[in-house]
Order: sequence, then structure tokens, then C-alpha cells
Amino acid sequence: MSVQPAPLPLPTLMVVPTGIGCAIGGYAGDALPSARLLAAASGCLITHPNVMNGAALYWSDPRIHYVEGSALDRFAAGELALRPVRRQRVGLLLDAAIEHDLRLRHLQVADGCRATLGLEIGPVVTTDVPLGVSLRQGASGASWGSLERPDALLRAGEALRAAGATAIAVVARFPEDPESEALAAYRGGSGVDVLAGAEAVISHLLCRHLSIPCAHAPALSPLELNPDLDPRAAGEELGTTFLPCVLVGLSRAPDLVARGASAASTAAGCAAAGPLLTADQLGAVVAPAGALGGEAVLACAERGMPVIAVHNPSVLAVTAEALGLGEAGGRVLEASSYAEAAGWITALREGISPAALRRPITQLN
Amino acid sequence: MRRSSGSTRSDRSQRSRLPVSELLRLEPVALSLPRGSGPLLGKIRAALAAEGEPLRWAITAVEAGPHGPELRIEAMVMRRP
Repeated sequence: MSVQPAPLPLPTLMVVPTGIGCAIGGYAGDALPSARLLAAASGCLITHPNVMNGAALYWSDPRIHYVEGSALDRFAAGELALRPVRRQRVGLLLDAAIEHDLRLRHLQVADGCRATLGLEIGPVVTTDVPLGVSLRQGASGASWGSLERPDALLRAGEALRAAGATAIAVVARFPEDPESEALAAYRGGSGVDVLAGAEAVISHLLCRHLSIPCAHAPALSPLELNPDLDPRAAGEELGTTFLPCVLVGLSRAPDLVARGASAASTAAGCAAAGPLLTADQLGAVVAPAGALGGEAVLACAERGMPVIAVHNPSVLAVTAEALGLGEAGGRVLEASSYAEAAGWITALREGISPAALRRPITQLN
Repeated sequence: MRRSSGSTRSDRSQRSRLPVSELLRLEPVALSLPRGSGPLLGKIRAALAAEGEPLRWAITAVEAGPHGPELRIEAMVMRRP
């Protein structure tokens, strides 16, 4: 009996925007099971830290490429390629505002990841002044945030890169309000993650400036035990930091290669572990049906790539119809769940026309 | 004893001292643009470029306007001195 060879992977982009309260992926890495499923269906999934980061919880899969959100946008737009590597040397960037004990907790997490997981971590650089993180929400309800001293973040990042880091884990001290209604709602499984918008701004700023893999973990004091904690938020209450998932994700994050750059010009010292991935190899993009108005999804849609729009409610209602994606020639496949999205990806990977899986089938001409 | 931020592991840590302007600023921006027809990305990028270097943005709503659908865009931009 002959065995059918597996079809070639279908590189697929998965986006769950940060800080908009997605029912799946709006909490502590709770889109990770969906990402694992899409990775199995596609054989190659490119996604971002918000999908993969469960604070103390993480999952490593060689089919999943961990790419910071702004780098993912540039990848989708064809400005960057991704080069898989065997390992990164992850520098640790700490906000000067982090108190002594909390700082020590983070250093011990880094030591634990070195000793127990075999990751290469270091050096450690502390910003020359506190970053001054602030949080806010936009008119839409999406979370945003800012830094008083973005220059301090960039200086520290430059120092880490100059010292040999090929990726950077940033830990910024975040403001706390343990009695806030927003926090109570988040822990109860509703509302948006009010920290997420500022986290994205921090990692976008650093990644844009340095063009190496970056991801962020907020430094916060532990919360009081909550017996009614939503399971989706539980990953963030198992430990004293949010750092383990970031270190694990970055440890094998692909290099970011400017299109047209020579291989020698990128991240010297990290042996390539696979061929370059480019946007023109992508076969599909998967995103929440009400959050299609981001840069990566639009870049893919405007190139005619299938957009798999998954039912995943959030505070936004920016649908394919509202954006006129169909009118502009976009190919939108609706999915009621990530399981159905995995079915669409399997069909595309196998070369099965999505139209053949629906009824009625109209006559040609 | 709890102390302010410091480097008790100073052998593993170093302070950064490289020139990046202290005047670099991040600013929130909210924009409305007519949706029109055809590709959106180019016109959104052009509109945001007038405000600064876009760091993060998203279309957060599509609403009825006097001349057709309008895109509401929330963004964070970077302004250099």
C-alpha cells in the first residue's frame, strides 16, 4: 500500500489583535490552542506574542513562528522576510522603575529559563531613567498606552544589541490599580486587557528601531487570590512574573531580514534553521471577523490572499462587509470557529476549491 | 528590606548611555477618512504619515458619513525633534 506524501505546508498568518477583548485571545495566551490547531492544519503558522504568551504558560512548536506585531505587519506587507534560527541570544531589558524585589524575581525567571530550559539569556541592561508607562483606552474601547521616555527604551535596546543580544525581552513597570473595575472584569472574563495596548506600543517601538525580535512582559505586583478567576486569565496568576513565555517565544523567534539584505548582514551568530519565509509564500490569513482593519490583514487582502474571518467577538465590529473587502476583490472565507478555520486551511493546503465545499454550486457561465 | 530600583547584580547589568534624543515623543491620534472604493492601506498610511511616524494603528469602526462610509482610525505615532 502506498502512503500519500504530506502536502507542502501552507504558510498561514494568524492575527488576534491585542487589547480589544477578543473572546478567544483577549486574555492570557488563550488563543494558543487555536494557534496549535492552525499550525497542525497549515504546517507553518506565523503569529504574534499576544497569541502565544500565557505568562507562566507557553508552548513551543517548530511549525509556529513567533513574530512581534509590528514585524508581522512589515512581513505581511513584503518589507521583511523571516529566517528561522536554532536559537536566539535573548537580552533582558529592565525598566529602572522596577522595584528591587520585583526586579530580582525577573532575574530569577531568566536564570530558571537558562538552567531548566537551556535558553541563552543575557546580557541584562537597565534603562537610565524610568520609562513612565501610562495606560488609556480609545473611543472604541480598545486599550492603548504610552511611554514618557521612549528614548530611554531605545538607548537600552541599542546597548543590548551592541552587547550581542540577537533578541530582546523587555520588562516595563506598569501602573497598578488592583481595585479597578476594568481589572475585575478582565479577571472575570469580560472587557479588554487594559495593559495590552501599552505593551504593544513598547514592543513595536523597540522592534521598529532595532529590527530584531522583541517582546514585552509587564512587571506587576502579585494580585490577591480570586476564587472566581476566569480560566482564560489564569495563566497570568500562576507565578510572580509574565516573563517565561516571552523568553521561550523569543528563544527561537525567526530573524527579521530586510528584503534585499544579504544573509550575512543579519544577526550574525544565529545559524539558520530553515529557508527564508516571505509574504509571497503566504497562503491565507486568519483573523477575527470583527477586527479586519489592521495593517497585516489589509496587506494580505489587498494582494488577493484568502482572508479567513473567524467568529471571535471583541469590542470592534470592523467586518469584511464594512470595509468593502469583497467589493475590492478580496477573497473572504467565513468561519464560525477556529476549528472551521482549520478546515478551510486544510482545504487550501490540499488544493481543494472552497467553493466545492459549499452548496449550492452554481453552473459555470 | 525593599529598596528602590538598583543593580544588586551589577556584574550582570549595565546602564545604557547611547545618544537617542530625549525629545522623542509618542502621541495618540484619532482620524476619520472616507472609505471610498479600492485599496485602503495606501490612503491610511498617507493620512497617518501627516501626523508622525505611525507606531501602531487600526481601523476601529466604520460609520455612516455624509458622503458614504467613513473609517475611524486610532493610532499611536512617534514624533521626532
